[in-house]
Amino acid sequence: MSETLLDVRHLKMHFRLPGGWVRAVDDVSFSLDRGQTIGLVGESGCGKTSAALAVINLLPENGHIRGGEVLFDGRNIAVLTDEEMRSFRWRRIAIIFQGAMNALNPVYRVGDQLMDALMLHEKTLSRRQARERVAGLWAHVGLEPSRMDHYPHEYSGGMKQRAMIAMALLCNPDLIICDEPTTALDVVIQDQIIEKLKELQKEYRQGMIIISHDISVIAETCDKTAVMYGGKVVEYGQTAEIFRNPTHPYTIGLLRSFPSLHGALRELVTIPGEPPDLLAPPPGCRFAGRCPVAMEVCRRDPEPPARDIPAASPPAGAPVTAAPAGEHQCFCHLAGSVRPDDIDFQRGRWV
Amino acid sequence: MRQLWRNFTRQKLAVFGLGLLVICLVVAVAAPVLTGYNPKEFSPGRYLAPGSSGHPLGTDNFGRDLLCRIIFGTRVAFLVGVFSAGISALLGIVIGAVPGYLGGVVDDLICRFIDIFLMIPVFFLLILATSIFGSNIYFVMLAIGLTTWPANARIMRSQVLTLKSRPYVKASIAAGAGVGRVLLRHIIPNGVYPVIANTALQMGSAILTEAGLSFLGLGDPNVISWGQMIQTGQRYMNVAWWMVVFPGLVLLLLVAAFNLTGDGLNYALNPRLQRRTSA
Amino acid sequence: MGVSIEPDPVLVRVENLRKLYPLRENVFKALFRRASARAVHAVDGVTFDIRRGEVVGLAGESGSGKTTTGMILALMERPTAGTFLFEGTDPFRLSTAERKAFRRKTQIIFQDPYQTLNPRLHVGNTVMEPLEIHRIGRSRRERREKVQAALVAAGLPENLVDRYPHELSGGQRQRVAIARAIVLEPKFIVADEPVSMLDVSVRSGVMNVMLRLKREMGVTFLFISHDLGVTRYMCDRIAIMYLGRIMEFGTREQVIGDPHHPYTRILLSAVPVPEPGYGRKRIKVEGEIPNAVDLPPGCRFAPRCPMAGDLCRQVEPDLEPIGTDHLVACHFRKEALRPENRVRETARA
Repeated sequence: MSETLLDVRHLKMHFRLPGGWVRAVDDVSFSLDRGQTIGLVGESGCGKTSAALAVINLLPENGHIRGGEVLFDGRNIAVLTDEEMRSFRWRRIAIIFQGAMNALNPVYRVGDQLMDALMLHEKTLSRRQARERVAGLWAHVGLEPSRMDHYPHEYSGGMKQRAMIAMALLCNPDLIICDEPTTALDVVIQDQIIEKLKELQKEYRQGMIIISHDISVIAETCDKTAVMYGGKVVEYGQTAEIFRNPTHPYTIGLLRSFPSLHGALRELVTIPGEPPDLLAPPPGCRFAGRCPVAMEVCRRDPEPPARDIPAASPPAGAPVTAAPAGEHQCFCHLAGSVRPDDIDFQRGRWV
Repeated sequence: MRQLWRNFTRQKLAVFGLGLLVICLVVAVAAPVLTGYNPKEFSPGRYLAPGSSGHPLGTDNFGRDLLCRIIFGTRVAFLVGVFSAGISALLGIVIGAVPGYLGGVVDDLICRFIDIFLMIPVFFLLILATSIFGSNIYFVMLAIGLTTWPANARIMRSQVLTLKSRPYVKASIAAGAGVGRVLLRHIIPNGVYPVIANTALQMGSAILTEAGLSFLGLGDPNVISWGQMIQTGQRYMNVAWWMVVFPGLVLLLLVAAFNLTGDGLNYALNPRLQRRTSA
Repeated sequence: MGVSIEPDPVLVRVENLRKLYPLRENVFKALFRRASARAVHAVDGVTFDIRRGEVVGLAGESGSGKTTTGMILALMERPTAGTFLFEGTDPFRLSTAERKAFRRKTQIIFQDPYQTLNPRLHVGNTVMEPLEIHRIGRSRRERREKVQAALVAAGLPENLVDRYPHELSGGQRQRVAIARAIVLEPKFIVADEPVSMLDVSVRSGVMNVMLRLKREMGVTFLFISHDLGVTRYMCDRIAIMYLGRIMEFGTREQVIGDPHHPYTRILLSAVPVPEPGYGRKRIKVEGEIPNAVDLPPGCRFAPRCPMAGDLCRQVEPDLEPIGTDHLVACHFRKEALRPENRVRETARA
């Protein structure tokens, strides 16, 4: 029986700039059970990385949590002090940063760097014990244990990423956050990393948050998805549901602007315009300025209601999923009454 | 540009230095207006102490008002600073940019040439030059410029090496641009900032060099320079200390002003002016 | 027989193109500048052609040589060996003056939108520069009109002319780069990963602009990318490269829909599908891409190929046709699809 591992409720995290507050994460809610993976997907500037950093309270000097709760195993960790938070980080929640593979210190052996990190968190370990732990992890992530004594420049990109995954697993955390785990890697290696992440999750049963702008990676790895735009969640629910039945115009645009290898070759949609300025966001819905079917109320009301979308009937012949249709929420005034083919993105209106 | 200014103004010392520079520049330009005296005119009151009526900083051994001479000395100082450093910068940019861009044998040769030049002790070379060729102030400025350009060349060259692989440079080449256009329109305008910062520092050091030469008696006796004043004054140290101290103080101030500004510029250039936001 | 006045449908012909970067072995050899035996074989015998008005894609992973090939075709790098003919002429044999005139026909679009524009020039000046270089247009006003036409063709509003690069988004900057590339009305554009560094929602816009230029202005493209989905969308014909050679070359339908080379099939099977529950079957392959310095004899993919046999390790296969316009460099090209020789596929965990 799975229990809720992480429950983020109405999280608000803003950055203080001389000109005001940048509302990077503005009322974001999502939840995650043990053994589940959730994907945060959106273009850059949408707040997905900021939201993840806010979950573990790893904020820059000018970042402040200004509202909401982060319930980890039932306990609100958003209000913990830095000291208290430190016991959570790495031991219970680990994060693999974007481009982390470049964070390895080039003058130390890779294995040593992990052993040092491990001994820092578990002070009772001897060096020999730490080495055994790391060696075990090496095999788990698909690296040869003999490679522990090599230097970072002797590792390829894919190998470095595996080392980063090993580092995240060091203390056997309950939750791992992966920020763009496959960017900057070659296609075949990307695939191996995705496969490895799923394997490890099956074995360790951690919760995973995957942040990506690549919807195909999200589609293959995540049970749930939160589509983010302008600091807010615009659509949220089971991944299969969202991909099968996208209802938010942004989600629809995102899915239809993705060049896939499969399916019919159709003209890709372009979402016109630019993401909103989070320092001074527009009065209404964050997406209204670019939405081809925005109405008056969209431009006025900043908080489009969350509408529950009923599960779509699976296409004929598709296997019936055992999982419950579950939640599927769309934060849009038009939710439920918009079908993908109804929107003409190019001319900015209904078809 | 605006970002550069913001980075610069964030450092209080640099702004202070710049302010000082501006004040000195105004003084230099407005020299005749600021003082009623003729700096070269002899007058009866010799060795008057500072605070004597009409002579806030006193007079020198020929009865010339010290404040007046210091004010006029500012002009020479700026002249020396700007000309010498200017020549140095121009030479440095050209000798650094062209071989750096062309690469190959030309680059190797010029690099060795620069290295050899760097080994030469500048000050001794200048002493030698002025003793042989005379000590006209313009010659001194030229000589300083001709001996300090290697540092700028090195800086410019390393910038060029970085910039010549930038896509916008390659795009210009792909459009058919020749070497001249690529260097003048794309590479130099984007790479010259560190040279400018170094030039500010070199201005200060040029003034100091000229003062040093004058102090050794190798300067131009026809111009009023602080180094000259110190050189004259050292003989009268016991009787009229103000003849040495005041010129020395202003020298210190102006050179410090250049240095602070130059340092401020250097710092303003790195953090890199580009920032990309991410989610 | 009359003389045909139709222009040759083939715009670019590349035959056995090679580009080697020698490695300096040690200090002493470097001092005496003796050519080293070891070199990086960035491009190692590439043959293909590009027809007028089409988009040919060079696809592959890092080290495949696709970018170097593109740079040679854009006249930014000199080939070490082999032939490259553009409309029947070898551009590397031209004099400097002739080559400058030649550059009007070929342009480039680069990968990084944040470094592709001179930060000190505003958009108008950047796009106008090619016109100034070739002294096109009799007056400043005429040139400005061309600049505006180019900006519009790239999908930008005309009032962007006075903006500086730092005021523009990545997508806008890339469009300015496109405008700069088309202002001379070139016949051929080499696009080196033009959308890889753009945001996902912006990519489709830039890609559609290029497709429109192809349709309406008849521009021919060489499109370099590591993203197979993007390659499929953009390109009429696709060449799959590995370690400096082309492994498979054919139309979009042939290479994506009916791949014959084991590497192509492995590559395609590794691309994630934006359809939950699709059940993609990846083809397992061992190892990582080796560097292109010490290449073993025989087929360069043999060390990792699940189908490799003795012949593969001794003789390097040539790019040979297996159908109309479909070429494959594999000894098993005709047998690849026989059930008993099928590359072992592993179902997803």
